[in-house]
Amino acid sequence: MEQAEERENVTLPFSKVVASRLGGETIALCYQCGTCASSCPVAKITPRFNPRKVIKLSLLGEKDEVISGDAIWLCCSCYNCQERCPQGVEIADVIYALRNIAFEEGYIPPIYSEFASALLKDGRIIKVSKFVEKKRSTLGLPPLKPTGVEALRKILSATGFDKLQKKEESR
Amino acid sequence: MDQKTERVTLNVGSIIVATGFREFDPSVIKEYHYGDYPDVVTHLELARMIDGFGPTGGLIVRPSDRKPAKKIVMIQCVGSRDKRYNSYCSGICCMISLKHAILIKEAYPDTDITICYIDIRTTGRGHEDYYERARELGIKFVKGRPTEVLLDPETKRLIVDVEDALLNRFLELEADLVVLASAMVPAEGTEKLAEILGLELDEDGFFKEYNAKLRPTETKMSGVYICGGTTFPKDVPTTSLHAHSAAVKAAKFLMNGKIVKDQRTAVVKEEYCGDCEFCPVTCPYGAISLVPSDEGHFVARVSDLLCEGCGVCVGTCPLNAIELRNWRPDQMLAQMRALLSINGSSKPLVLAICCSECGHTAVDSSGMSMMQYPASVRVMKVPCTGILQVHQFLEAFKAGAQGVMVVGCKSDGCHYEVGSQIAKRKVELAKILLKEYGVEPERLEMFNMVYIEGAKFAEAARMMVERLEKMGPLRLMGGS
Repeated sequence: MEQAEERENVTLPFSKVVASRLGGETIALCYQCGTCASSCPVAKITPRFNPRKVIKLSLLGEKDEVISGDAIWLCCSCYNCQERCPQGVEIADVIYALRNIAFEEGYIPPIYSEFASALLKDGRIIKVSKFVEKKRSTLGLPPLKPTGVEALRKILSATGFDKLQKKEESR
Repeated sequence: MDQKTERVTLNVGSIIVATGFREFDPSVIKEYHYGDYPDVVTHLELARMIDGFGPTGGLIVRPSDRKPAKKIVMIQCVGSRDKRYNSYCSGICCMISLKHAILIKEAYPDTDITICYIDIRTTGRGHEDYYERARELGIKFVKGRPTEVLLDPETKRLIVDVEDALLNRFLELEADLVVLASAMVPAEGTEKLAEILGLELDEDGFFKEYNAKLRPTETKMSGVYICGGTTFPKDVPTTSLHAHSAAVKAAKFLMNGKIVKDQRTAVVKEEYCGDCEFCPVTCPYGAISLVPSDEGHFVARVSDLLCEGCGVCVGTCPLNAIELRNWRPDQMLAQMRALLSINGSSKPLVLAICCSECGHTAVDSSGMSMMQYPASVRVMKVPCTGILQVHQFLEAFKAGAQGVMVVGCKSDGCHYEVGSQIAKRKVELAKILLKEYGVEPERLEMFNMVYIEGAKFAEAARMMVERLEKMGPLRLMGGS
């Protein structure tokens, strides 16, 4: 019994941490066949992102390298890798889980931080410019409705997003 | 040439199923474009080309224009080790690719051959030599599973899009011919054949052996054997070994000229049996069928050949109309009474009803490893715990037991498939009844163990006796 308690106190290996998060459950199934990497449109144009490598590093417990690097933020969520993975690893979702961990630990590219503040302030991640509004009317589209930012803030507060973002802004 | 299909009826004493396996149809994997691009072929089609008597006379050509294929790319694990199609490793495709690559390279040394693999698996005597020979001949290996096969619209050549994980570099391999090492799957009609012969299939759709380690090539139907690729993809030496095993077993089965069976089979008392369908449905061996009786209703009939003598039907029959030969309820009761007639120790008497497979063997192993359990625990052997009926637990208490243990196999490891699960349900029901009668339900307990777990049995027996000592003597209505 004592042994079991001791075991619980030991910090989980990083791969288990990822596997315990929403979206990260399937990470350990990976057998490094590289189908994801060759399916990836981002990996084709930049050596900074390779989904196979991100997963391998996570499985090996290289937490700092994974969450402090920019690789996980380069995934364009096309889900091509996930469609073709022979082992059913939900690669894009694993990367979302990794992004969540990185965000909680204070690693977030400035642009995403700006998106987050804009979302909390106006309910949109990008400000609607005069130009866009004019363009809409020339195309015969109706003017944009207000965003219902109050409801949005409530949702974001229920998920704890606003607190994390405030922590981020005060950094 | 003028042969026609004919139907032949044979009278046989034994059947060996050797229907083999077939190649998985890779056209369902859209990204490899098998079926769309004529130059994407499987190993079976390549083997026809390599064959000197085949359609190309041994020339390796592109099916699209019949020109010689100078660059060949082979893709491993197509449809195997893939959770979307077949999650298992087909086991022999690595060797097939190596063999074909070597044959082509030796005949046409200027052919450029690349094998894209996830892991090269060359287990088996002398198989690693093939891998070595392939490297010596200059066959290239890329560690990576290609994501897609593309067709260059201008040159009409195929392009294999793959990441070499060892170089961490993306390669676009040009190819005249792409060969898919397609998975090996059960032969066509396997399901139907299994239904006809009463055989079971495993989760991948192959025939299931009785016990792959201890009783290979046997099935639960005695006299029916399976061998070779019917059970799983195999290489030639293993198939031969398997076939020998099946042949020897079939010969042994036939040579006696008669079938020797345990007398322990079920017998129906037709005058009590009436129209319900409990036993034919419950029998794990399909040994019971319903036949019309003279009195205008249906009665159960047991096939002595198919019956394995577990007694699950006996435990299920609501009318006590079915009995196991030499295990009649009155015989079991007499045995129970004799076991519980004398105590001879100060501890409370416990009747341990053990199944003849795991339960009784666990008792044996506890004895063999000199483990001790209280002498007041009396062991009674039954064919399978599935034979037990609820009233038999109550009779044990009436016969003088202070507690009753039911010891059976693990629910997923019952030697008669369903027996221990059925017993578990009956023990739960009996507990409710005991409570109604004012007897502590904790006096009856079911234990599931594997035959080697002697220590577990000894521990359970000690625990049971301790529990009963705490409870004090059993009080039944009407005295004693």
